[in-house]
Amino acid sequence: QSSVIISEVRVEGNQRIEDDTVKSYLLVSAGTPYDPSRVDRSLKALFNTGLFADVSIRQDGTVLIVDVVENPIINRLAFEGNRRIDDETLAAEIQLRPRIVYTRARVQNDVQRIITVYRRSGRFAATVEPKVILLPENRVDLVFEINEGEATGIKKIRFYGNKNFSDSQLLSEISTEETRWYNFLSDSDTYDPDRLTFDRELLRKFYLSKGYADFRVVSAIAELTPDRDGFFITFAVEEGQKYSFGAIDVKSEIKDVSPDALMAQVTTIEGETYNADKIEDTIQKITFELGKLGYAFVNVRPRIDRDRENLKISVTYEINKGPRVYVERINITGNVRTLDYVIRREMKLAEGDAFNTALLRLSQSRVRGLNFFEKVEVTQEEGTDADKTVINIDVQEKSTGELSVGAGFSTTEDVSADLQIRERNLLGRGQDLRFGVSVGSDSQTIDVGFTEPYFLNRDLSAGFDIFRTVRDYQDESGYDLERTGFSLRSGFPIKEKIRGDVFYSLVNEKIDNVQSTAPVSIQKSAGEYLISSVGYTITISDLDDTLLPTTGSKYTFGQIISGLGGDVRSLATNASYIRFFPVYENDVVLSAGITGGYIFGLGEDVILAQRYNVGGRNFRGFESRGIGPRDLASGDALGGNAYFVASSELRFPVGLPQEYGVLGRTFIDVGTLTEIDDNDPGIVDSASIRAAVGVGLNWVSPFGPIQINVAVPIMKEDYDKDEIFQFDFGTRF
Amino acid sequence: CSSNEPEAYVERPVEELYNQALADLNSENYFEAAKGFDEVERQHPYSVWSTKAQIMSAFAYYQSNEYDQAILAAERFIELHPGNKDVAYAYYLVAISYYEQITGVERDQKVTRQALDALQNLVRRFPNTEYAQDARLKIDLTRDHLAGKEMAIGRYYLGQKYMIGAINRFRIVVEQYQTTTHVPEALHRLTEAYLTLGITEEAQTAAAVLGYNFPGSEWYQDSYALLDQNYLKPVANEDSWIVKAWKSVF
Amino acid sequence: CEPIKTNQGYRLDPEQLAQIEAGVTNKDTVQAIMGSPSSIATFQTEGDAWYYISSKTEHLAFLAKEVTERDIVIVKFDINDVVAEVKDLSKEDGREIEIVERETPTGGRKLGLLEQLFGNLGRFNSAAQDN
Repeated sequence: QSSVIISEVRVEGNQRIEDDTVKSYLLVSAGTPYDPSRVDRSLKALFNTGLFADVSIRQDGTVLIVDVVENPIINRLAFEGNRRIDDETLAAEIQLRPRIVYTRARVQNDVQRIITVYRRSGRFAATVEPKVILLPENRVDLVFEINEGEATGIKKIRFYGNKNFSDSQLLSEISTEETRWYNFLSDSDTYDPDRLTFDRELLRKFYLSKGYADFRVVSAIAELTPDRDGFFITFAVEEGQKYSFGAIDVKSEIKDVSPDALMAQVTTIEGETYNADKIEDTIQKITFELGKLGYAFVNVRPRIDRDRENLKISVTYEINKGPRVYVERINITGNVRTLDYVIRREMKLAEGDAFNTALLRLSQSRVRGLNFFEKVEVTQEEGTDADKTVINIDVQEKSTGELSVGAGFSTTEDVSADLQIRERNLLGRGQDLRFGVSVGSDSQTIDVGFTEPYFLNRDLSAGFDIFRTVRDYQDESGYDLERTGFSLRSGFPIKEKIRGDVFYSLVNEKIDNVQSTAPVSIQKSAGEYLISSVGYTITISDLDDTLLPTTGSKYTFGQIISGLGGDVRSLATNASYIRFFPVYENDVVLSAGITGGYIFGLGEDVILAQRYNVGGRNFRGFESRGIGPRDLASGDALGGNAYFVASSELRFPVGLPQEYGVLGRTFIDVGTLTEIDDNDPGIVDSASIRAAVGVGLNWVSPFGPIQINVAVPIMKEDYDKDEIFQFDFGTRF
Repeated sequence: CSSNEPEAYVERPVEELYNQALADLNSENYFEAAKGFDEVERQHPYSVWSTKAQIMSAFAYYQSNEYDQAILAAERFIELHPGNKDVAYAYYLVAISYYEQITGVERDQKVTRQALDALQNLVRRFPNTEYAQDARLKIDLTRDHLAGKEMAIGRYYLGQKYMIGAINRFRIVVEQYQTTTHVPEALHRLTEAYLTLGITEEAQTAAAVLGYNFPGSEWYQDSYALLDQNYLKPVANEDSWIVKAWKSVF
Repeated sequence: CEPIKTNQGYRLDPEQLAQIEAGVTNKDTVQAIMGSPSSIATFQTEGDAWYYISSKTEHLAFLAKEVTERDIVIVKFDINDVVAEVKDLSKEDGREIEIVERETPTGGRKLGLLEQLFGNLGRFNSAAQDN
C-alpha cells in the first residue's frame, strides 16, 4: 500500500511538556511518509525519556496524533521510621528528588538503594514500603515507610582446623569483630560479605608469614540465627606443614652485577621460619640496590621450590633484564588544596627518568608520608611510544587542620587544659603552622611554631617558635619562673639514618616573688636573665616505629652554648641512647637506655634557671624535682649541673585483645643529679645513686591515653622526695 | 543551632510566589530568590511560569555563587525543555558556573577542563548567540590557564635541574598553546634550558623566534642578554641571600 | 660521609651508540636500538634532531643538588630521515644559568589564609574532609 505523507503532527494529553519537546524526540514529522518502523522507534525514544507514564501514536487520515500521559512530578519526599540512619544520608543515596519526574521504575530502584544502605550498616531485617499520595495538577507526595528491624550483629566467630594458633589469636588478626557491649564505638562488628573475603586474605597473609606455605582457607560461612538477630561466622582452615627457608641464592643474568654484592640485601635466611613478607621485602631491597648501582631496567623474580619431605623452601632470586621504559609524564590530580610541587618534590622519579618499580613504590610511600591525604593512588598507562610510560598520581586530601582541645590531670603538674590549632599543610604549601595555649593550675604557656620543610627548595627544614611560659614552683622551690623568647631552628638529613638539627634561641628568664623562707642561693638568683644560645643535635635512629618501637636503637648527642651576647655564659652537653629487643613476637618488648647531661658555666656559676631538674616523668618513683641538691632548712630543690638516668622497661600485653590498647609495663629507673656551683652550708648534695622499681599500665581509652605508674624507691637519700603513684590522663578531640 | 526543619509548607498562588522570588532577585538576596523560584516550580509545575522559574532559579543560584546548584538547575532545564528559547542561556549558565570555580594553576585543573568542555559545547550548539561570543573569549582564557599549569611544572623541573622534564613541558606550551600569553616565557625558558645543556643552536633559534614574534617582550630582553656573547660567564644574581631565602618561603 | 648519588634521564649504553652510523642508519633503526629520545628538537630547520640526555647528580645533606656528570647524544637526521651526524656534548659544554625569577601571571581562585586556618574550626581533626 502506498505510504501516506503526514500532513501534520499533533501532540495531545501533554500539560507541562511543550509540544516541541515531544516532537524533538520523534523520528517522523510533517511532510515525511508514514513509516511504521520509524514511528515505533519514536515511541521507544519517548518512553526512554522517563517523562511519560504512557505514550500512543495513531493515524487519523494524514494527521499523526501523539497521545501522551505525563508522569507526575514529585511534590514532597519524606522518610518515616528511620531512627538509625538520618534523612540526609538516605536522601543522598536515592535518586528521586522533589520537583523531578516520578516513575515506578525509579521508585523501585530507590527502595533497593535504601535496603542496601541498611544492609551495609548490618541491618538485614530492614523493609521499605513506598507510599504515593496523589495531588491535583498531576503531582504526588512520595513517602518511604521504613521498618529497620533488629541489628544483625555477630554473635560468635569460630575457627576449625587451627592447631598452631588459638582462636583468640586468629580473632585479633581478622578485621571482623564479635558484637560486645564494650566495643560500642566500633562498626566492624556487623556482617559484611566484602569484609569476610578481606578476612580470608588477612588469615592467609598471617599464616604465610609464620611459615605455613600450604595454608588455605577451606571455607568462611555466615549463618543467620533462626530469629534473624545475629550471625554465626565459621572459618574452616587447613594449616598444612610449617616450613623453614632452604637454600637461598641470587642469580644475575646482567653481566658485571655480582650476586654476592646483593646477598647483603637478602632478609630470607636459610633455616629461619618461612615468611612470604620477607621474600617481598628482599625483592624490593635488591631492586633498590640495583637502582643505586645504575641498573634501572631490572626485574627480580623469586623461583620457589618446595621440598615437602624435610619441609624446606629454597628461594633463588633471579635478576634479569627488564624492559627499557622511560617516564614520559607525571600527572598529579585530586590536589584541590595541596600545591603540585609539594607532591612532585617527594617523587624519586622525574619526567625523562628511567622507570623503576621500586622507585615508584618508594615515591608513593613518601607522598603518603606527608600525611595530607586519605588516599594516594598511583596508576600507570602507556605513553606516546611503547617504551614510554605516564604515571598518574591521584590523591584524596583529608583535613590537615587540627583543632585539639586537651585536658590533663597528672600528679606531677596537677590539672591542665590546652587548646591547639594546627595546620600541617598551610595554604597547600606543605608548611606547618601551630598555635597553642595551655592553662594549668601551675603553669600558663602560649607558643606559635612555623616550619618550612623544603627551605630554599632543598632537603632542609627551617622554622621558628615564639613562646611565653609562666610557671609556679612555689611549693617545690619557692619561686615563680617566667620564660619569654623565640628560637630559629633547622633540620637536615646527613645520611640515610642520621639527622642533624641546629637552632638559635633568645630567651628572657625572670625569677620573682621568691618566698622569704627560700634558701639564700635562690634569693641570689632572683632577677632577670637574657639567655642567647646556639646548639646542635645529631640523631642516629633505626627504630622500626616511632610510637611503639619493637626493635632498633636511637642515639642522640647535642650541645648548647649560651653566651653569644646575653647575660649567661654556659655550655651544656646532652646525650641519650635507647635500644629495643623483641622478646616474644612483637608484643613483649624489652627496652634499655640511658640519658644524661652536664652543664658548666663559662667563667661563672651556672644560674638556677639553667640547672637540670630530675624527678617525676623522667625518674619514676620520685616527685617532680624529687632528687638532687636541696636546701635542708626549707627543703627547696635547687637543681644540679650533672645528671644521668638509666632505665630498663619490659612491655607486655595484658591478655586483652589488641584493639583495646592496654599495655602492662615493669621498669627500673637508676640515676642521680648532683654538683651545684654554690657552697652555701645549708645545701646538701650527694652524687649517690638513686633507684626505683615499679609497674605501669597504659590504656588508649576512647577518651584519650591514660598512663598509671606505681614505683617504689629502693635506693635514695633521706632528704629526697618520693612519689609512689603517678597518674596521667590527656584527651584530644 | 539553626532549626532545619523545612519552612511551613504553604500553598500560595503562582503569581504571588513568582513575584516574591523576582522581588528577592532584584533586591539581590539571590539564595532566597533561587529557593522562591524552586517553590514556584514545585507547587505549580504546569503553570506557564514554572518553565521560566526553572531558568530563573539557575540564574539566582549562579548569582549567589552556589555553582553546583546552578549547574544542577540549568542541566535539569536543558533536559526538560531542549526546545525552549532559553536553552542557550542554560548551557551558558552551566559553562560560566564551572568557569568561576577555576582554581590556581598549582592545583587540580579538573574544573578548568569541565569549563572548557562546557564552553566549547555551547559554541558548537549555538554559534551565533551573544553567549557564544563571550564563551569564545572565555575559551581562550581557560586554555591560557591550562598553559599556565604546564609552565608551573616546567619551572619546577627547571629549578631542580631536571632538564628533560622542563624542556618537554615548555615545548608543549610552544606547540599546543600558541595563542596563549605564556608563549614568550616558554621560548625564553627553552633558551635557558638549551643553554644550560650547551645546545646553543636551539637556544639561539628559540631566542630568534621570540624576538621575531614578540619583539617588545621583557622575555626577549632576558634571552638576548643570555645569548649576548660576552655574557657567557655564570650570572651572579643581584638579590642578596636573605631576599632569595625570604622569597622561597613566602 | 659521602653524598647520595642518583642517575637521571636516559641510560646511555656505549655498545648501542656504536651501532649508529652517519649516512647509514635510518630513524626507525635508531628507535629500535636506542629507544625513544629524551627530547626532540623544537626548531630544527631541515631534518629532525633527537636528544638523548643522561646525567649524574650528587646531593650532600642539605646542600643544593649538584650535577656532576652530563652527556647528551644528538642524533641529527637529513630530510629523508637518515642519520646525518651524531654529536656528543658533555657537562663542560653547558653553562651555569641563573633562571629569571619573573613568572607570567595566571588567574584562578586562591585559598585565603584565614579561610583555611579557621575553616577547620567547625570540623575536629577526626572528621574526614567532606568535599
